[in-house]
Amino acid sequence: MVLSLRKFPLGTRASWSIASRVLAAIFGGYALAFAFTAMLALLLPVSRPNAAVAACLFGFIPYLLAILWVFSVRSATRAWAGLFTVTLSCAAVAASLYFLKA
Amino acid sequence: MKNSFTQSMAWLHTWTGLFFGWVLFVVFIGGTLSLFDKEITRWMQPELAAAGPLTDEGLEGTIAFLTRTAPDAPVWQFSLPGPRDPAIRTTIRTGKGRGAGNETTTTLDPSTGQEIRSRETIGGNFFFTLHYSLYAGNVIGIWLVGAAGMAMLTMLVTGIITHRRFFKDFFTFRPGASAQRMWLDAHNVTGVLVLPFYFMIAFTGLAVFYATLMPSGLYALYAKNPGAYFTEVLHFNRPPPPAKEKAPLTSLVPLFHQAERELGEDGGIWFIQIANPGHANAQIGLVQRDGVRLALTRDHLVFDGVTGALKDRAISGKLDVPFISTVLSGLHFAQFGGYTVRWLYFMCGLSGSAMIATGLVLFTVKRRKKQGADTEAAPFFFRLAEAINIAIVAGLMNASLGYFWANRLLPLDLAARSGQEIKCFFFIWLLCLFHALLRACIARRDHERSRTRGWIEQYASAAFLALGLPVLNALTTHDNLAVTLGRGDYGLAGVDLAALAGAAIFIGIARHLGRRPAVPPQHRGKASPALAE
Repeated sequence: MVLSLRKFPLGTRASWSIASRVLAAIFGGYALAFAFTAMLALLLPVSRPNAAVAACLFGFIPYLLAILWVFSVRSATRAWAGLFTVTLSCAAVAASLYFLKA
Repeated sequence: MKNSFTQSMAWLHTWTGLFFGWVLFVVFIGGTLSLFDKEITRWMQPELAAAGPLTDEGLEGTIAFLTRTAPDAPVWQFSLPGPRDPAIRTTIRTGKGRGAGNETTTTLDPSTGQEIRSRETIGGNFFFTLHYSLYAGNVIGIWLVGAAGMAMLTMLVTGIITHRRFFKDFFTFRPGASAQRMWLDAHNVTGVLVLPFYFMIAFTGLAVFYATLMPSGLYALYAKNPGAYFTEVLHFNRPPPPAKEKAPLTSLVPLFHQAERELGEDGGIWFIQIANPGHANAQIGLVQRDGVRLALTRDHLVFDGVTGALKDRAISGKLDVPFISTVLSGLHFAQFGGYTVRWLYFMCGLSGSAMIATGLVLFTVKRRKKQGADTEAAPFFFRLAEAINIAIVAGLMNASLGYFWANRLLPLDLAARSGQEIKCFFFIWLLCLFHALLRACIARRDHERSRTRGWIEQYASAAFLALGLPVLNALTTHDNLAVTLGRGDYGLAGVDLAALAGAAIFIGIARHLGRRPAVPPQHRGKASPALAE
């Protein structure tokens, strides 16, 4: 049931897929959460200090969901593609709101 | 990636658990001991028994002491005595950073403001710093512990998916069954018992460091004016640089009584911060003690340090400050609800430590069975993992107890004594790692037995250190367990009693491991098929 190093020796395709997913979960997941938090902060209809802090606190939840998602999709490529799409969408919304308010 | 969602989640649970389990165990033990940080500090400074109650004379004496010893310091800060701490503690920053090495602290008698010469130690604060940064610095350490917090949330969710039968298995504990079953039962029971607490503590732990770990919400709204973040969100005005003109400081006593009237209904004033003392722009801040309410609000008053006029009043509920972060911090720091809440958190923290430790053991027990790691061909990686498990779980017990021993045994006038106590902790921990690695190296011929021997030896030595602690305390101070219990000083007696309780647990574990017959687990399983499932 559990992957072992013997079944997936270093250098094989499966081990690269695992390494790729680990990187996607840690760094891709963080990028997604970072962009989502910025977007949420600009969207929340409450006063500035409350919006900023609430967005930061909620930011850990998309991170968690991204980690779980990366390890449940069929391939590492799909995982990266999904992370890119969501991160870029959030960043785009955040950037346009930021410059609209400015 | 695996055949099914459940299998992927089980894989994620296992490997996240192995790598972050080591960090998380240290964070959990550090946090659990931090619940009684002030009691530990008081135990470690027996000289403070001479401290009297707080008086106006004591406050004036403190200012006189600071004027005499640190006339040029940019900030004076001192905490006032409370139910858990008998002394006034002054902190003067001497370096640019924060923490030990950059600050000098002194203990003063609250009734006179005279110095009480107590041994130099950071006491229970040691476990607090270990808890949030592992002594790896405020950048690497906080990010590493933050990553462990995210890993914990991941493991809680994947753990529920992996061990989804645990609600049925909850009332099942099979200590006589195969090793794997027993550790699995123990892992499930400690995992499910206080599951909501784990979610709460991992999330609020991350929330405490939101500005460091997830700052993009602040960047989005405060990028143009970062200073506004401090005034709007934290309601914290950074003191200005000292003015050129000198001016004498106003008397602290009337300001203290005014602040006590406004903030002091329950807890009183916790600490006082004086910025730019002796300069024309001096300001005096008086901060309320934590624990008045669940939210960690740090209500405070700020006075002009020369005229004594009230400049700022930060009272929770009257300001537009983000209440949610103070509630989450309050839940994490557990300063509300007195000793009831402290003991509840303590038991939950112990349960969490046990959950992590049994999870780590489960990893190696399972691999050994699967991969025939009992043989000489045991892969290097699993032996290494096992040795690190011993050093992290049992070794940390030895190192923590060694820290208490060092507090009593190091010469009182040793230079940089508090740093030496910390060095003792890490030195003993390193010794434990060497011992565990040595045991792993000489385990070739008789793996099962000598593997268990590494655990047994370290638990036996931890039991010795724990049993000896009340004895050492009695020999090196005027107090002992009978005396402290007799006068109802449960703070001090509690440290000795906790050591004895720890000794009982360590002896129990060592005896249990020693009793196990030295046969591979699969043989044992066959001997009792009904139990081994």
